[in-house]
Amino acid sequence: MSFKKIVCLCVFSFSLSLMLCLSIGAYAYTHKGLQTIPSQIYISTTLTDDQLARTQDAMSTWNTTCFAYDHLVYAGRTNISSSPVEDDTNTITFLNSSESYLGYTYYVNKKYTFLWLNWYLEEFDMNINASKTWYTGESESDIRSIQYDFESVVLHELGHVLGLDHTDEYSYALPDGTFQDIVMYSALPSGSVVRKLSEDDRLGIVNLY
Amino acid sequence: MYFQVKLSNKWRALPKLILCLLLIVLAVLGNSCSSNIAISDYTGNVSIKVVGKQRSDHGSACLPFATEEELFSAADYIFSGKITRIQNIEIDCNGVKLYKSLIKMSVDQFLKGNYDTTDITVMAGPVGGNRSGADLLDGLKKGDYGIFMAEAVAVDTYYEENNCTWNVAELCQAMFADDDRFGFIKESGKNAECRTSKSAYSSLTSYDWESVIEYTEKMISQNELEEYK
Repeated sequence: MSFKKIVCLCVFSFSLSLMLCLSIGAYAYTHKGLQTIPSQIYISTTLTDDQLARTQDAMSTWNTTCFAYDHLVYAGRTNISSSPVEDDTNTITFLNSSESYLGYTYYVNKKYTFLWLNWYLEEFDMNINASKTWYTGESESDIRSIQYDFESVVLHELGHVLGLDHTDEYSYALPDGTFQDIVMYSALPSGSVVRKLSEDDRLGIVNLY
Repeated sequence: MYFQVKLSNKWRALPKLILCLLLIVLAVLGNSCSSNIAISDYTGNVSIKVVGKQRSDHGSACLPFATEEELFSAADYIFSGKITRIQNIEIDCNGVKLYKSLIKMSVDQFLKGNYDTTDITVMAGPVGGNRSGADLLDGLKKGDYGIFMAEAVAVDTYYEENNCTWNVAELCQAMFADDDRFGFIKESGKNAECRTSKSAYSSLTSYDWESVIEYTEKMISQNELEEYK
């Protein structure tokens, strides 16, 4: 086989593998995942009991859909009312922010891999913006058009904690022609509930861990 | 004799060396002085400094989704213009750090609203990466020409973060109406680039620059009609 043919074959194989990689799904990654599993998560007393319950539901959704055992564990309440704080604990707070976000996950500590090419998440803090209007009920149908769904936003933020980045697409087409809302889409409309993981979200995590 | 000549050369080079060192020290000092932005209207411990790079790896957000109509309605100013300067800043609010960019633009034409100057500084924040791995704002650079959608910042617009407040008007005249969808950048040639999920502008079918202008004008006039009603 001539050198030219070998080069062509290499280029073709590389392009094919690249195309296959890209066609897996819409999911993308910010980091290589949690450094410590299970991750102990403290919930600030700034969250109400309803908000705590929705947060636990969101943790449970990731745990039951993607893992054989719990990766996200509720560690109890904490009095911390500031975010982010570098204190070796993962904390979820509910504080006012003038920022436009609904929820924000701070990557507080990172463990870099060889040559700083990537990193594992050692510590995170998450804030849900208290200046927005929230729905914290259990029933999905009772949300009002001006409210943002607390559980949907925590579910999205926990996706960042686990390593997922935003997707460009907001829905994922299943082979049967139906569509699922992607949790990791960058924005959530008010009055909308996205409490179930799409196949794309699940595949993103399954391929990472 | 040989040593004398060598010594003399050394002495001759010394003033130049001192001058070089002095210039380096002055440059470092000048740089560190100009890296702080002074503000006067604030409460708590607030300090603002210029940083070299936008910190898009700081965290990731979930943003409220606005429809196209809401987006065009929220923007007080929609204008075409060119980016003349980008300053990345770190705002420290009692230890909690926010990362923003101050984007100065020379305005070519106002399509909506009118600000009484040809220069406008818009504050924007990182929103986390997209599939390409880079933050949406990372792609903006000096010299970019485009259509931008911004919300006006009133004289007393106070930001609140971690028990601190500070007056945003001291830094900028406007903020992007939507962190994620700030407008369209004209690429070389005729195509426009929209740094967002394409589905966000469902009525925009082509990203050709002329189509983008047509679409923007149509959305503005629809919006004005709604407000008139």
